[in-house]
Amino acid sequence: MNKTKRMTFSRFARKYLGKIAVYLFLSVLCFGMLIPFFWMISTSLKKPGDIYLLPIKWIPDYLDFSAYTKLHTQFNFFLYLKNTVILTAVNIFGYVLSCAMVAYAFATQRWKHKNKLFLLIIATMMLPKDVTFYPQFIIFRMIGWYGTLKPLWVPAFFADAYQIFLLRQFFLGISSELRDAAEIDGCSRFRIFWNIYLPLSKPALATSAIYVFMYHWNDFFKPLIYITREQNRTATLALMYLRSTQDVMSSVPSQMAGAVVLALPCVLIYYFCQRYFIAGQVYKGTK
Amino acid sequence: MDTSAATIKKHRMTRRERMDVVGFFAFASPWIIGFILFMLIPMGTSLYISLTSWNLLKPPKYIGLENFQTLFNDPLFYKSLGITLRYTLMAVPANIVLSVLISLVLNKNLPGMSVFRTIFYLPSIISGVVIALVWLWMFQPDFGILNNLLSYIGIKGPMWVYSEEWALPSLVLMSLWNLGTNIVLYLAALQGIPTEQYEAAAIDGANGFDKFWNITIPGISPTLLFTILTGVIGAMQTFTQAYVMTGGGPNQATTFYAYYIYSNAFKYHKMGLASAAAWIMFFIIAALTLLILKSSAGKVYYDGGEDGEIL
Repeated sequence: MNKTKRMTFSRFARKYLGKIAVYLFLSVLCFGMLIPFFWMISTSLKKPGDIYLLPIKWIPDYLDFSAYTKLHTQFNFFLYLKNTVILTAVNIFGYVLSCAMVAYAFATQRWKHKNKLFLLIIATMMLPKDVTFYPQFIIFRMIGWYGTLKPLWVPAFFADAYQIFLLRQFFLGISSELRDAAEIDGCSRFRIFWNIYLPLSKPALATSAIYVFMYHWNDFFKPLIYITREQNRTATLALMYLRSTQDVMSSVPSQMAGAVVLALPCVLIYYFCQRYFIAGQVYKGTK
Repeated sequence: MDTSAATIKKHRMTRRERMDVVGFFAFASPWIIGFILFMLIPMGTSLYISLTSWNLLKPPKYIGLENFQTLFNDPLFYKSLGITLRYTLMAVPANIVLSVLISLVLNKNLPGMSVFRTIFYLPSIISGVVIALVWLWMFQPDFGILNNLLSYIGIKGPMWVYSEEWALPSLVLMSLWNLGTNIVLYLAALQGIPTEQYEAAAIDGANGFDKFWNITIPGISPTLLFTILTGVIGAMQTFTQAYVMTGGGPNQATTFYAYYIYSNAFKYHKMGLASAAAWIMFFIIAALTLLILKSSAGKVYYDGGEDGEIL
């Protein structure tokens, strides 16, 4: 009797203890991972004075949205947000279009040295961003683009190695018979690209667009260097300047409110487009 | 006859072939032009600028290798390199060990794993500035949430980024919030390992550690190599944290190399010096990349050549 009971217990242990340990481990870690989000949202909903009360209030007694309204009335945050939206949109348009074109050239057009050229594209992917950044700054400065928004959007129309790589891979998967048939029907190269390849590649184009969105929505370094006029500031830049406002006391909740406003679109896009995200990530990793 | 026809064919392209080449270049032109305008010309120019003294106002003046001499005589040059290397050596291994561990656990086919995966991934979609500001407020010694949490278990928390001693470890801790990208990559790699390998090993009586060491690690080794490389390259260029949170301080404790270049360029307007420093960064990163690739040779297993193939 006793023996069977012990056996059932050990079977029970083997079956569930492992699982309980897994869930416990993940829950503790995820709790830790969520603390910054929690602290950001909680602080953004506090009255400015309340953030300096001890003991700390994890959850504010009542929800105070003044940090959010202040973003608009006092810090002009929505102007900067608008700048970010416009810049991001132009970059998405430019990169997706130009990268799709270049990817189409490498996937479908015939030139005997094109694979060697493609290796060069791959090689530029390995270049650290900092290494090309200062040289670019020097050139933009020399041609008088410093202080304008051009350095932040013109390069978008000249393609990016990683997106080219991703889209080319997708285009290679499209049957060449389709292209041959269209050619026989007298379709021009451009029409094949525009009317066959682009519509068939919507998932890859979406992945590419999301990647560009994330990068430019969140970008900080380039705006920091190139934007000299206050009315041109992007939201990330404006958020950084919130730190150095005179009224530090009241600016912390507004900083956190701005952080929430900036993070929200990313979280939403991630939530609704998860499969495109993961596809892009994994592609990058297995290259 | 045959050979001459072949030579003619070799030398003269048909109209169709010519049109093909034109088509290729028409579509590839954005990248080719961009590569020349935004990569080749700038890099060449900056190579020259690194040999000049240029304060952005007067035209650059050629001074030979003086910038490099100035850098090699600057204690802060070595200090910033040391800080950057120390940060890289702490943050990258910790990040990789933790993400492998978490991916192994997430890879178990249990309900709810996708929720955990989403939570782990969330930080990696957020702007560096947002992360920096939120963590700065978390690190606040008196009113921040970290020391508040520590006080519950009776520990008086440190001054975090506000103390010279703790600033760098604080930034390492903060970097460990961002494991999601690597976890996603490891999960994809783990799913690519055939289950038969584990079954065969189980029949041979292998224990959990044997399986991990002889099947799992080789199976994810290409991904490991990739994440080590991108991790090191990324960590070597750490900038936003230093700029937004600490301003390189306290007492220069977080003056990363990228911040050192930035200060020279935009605080002190020494563009020539900054260009020289950026080129040194290029060679250091290239050397590290080669070192990692060399030392991984023979240790990375590509399955059927599929993953390793580029073209």
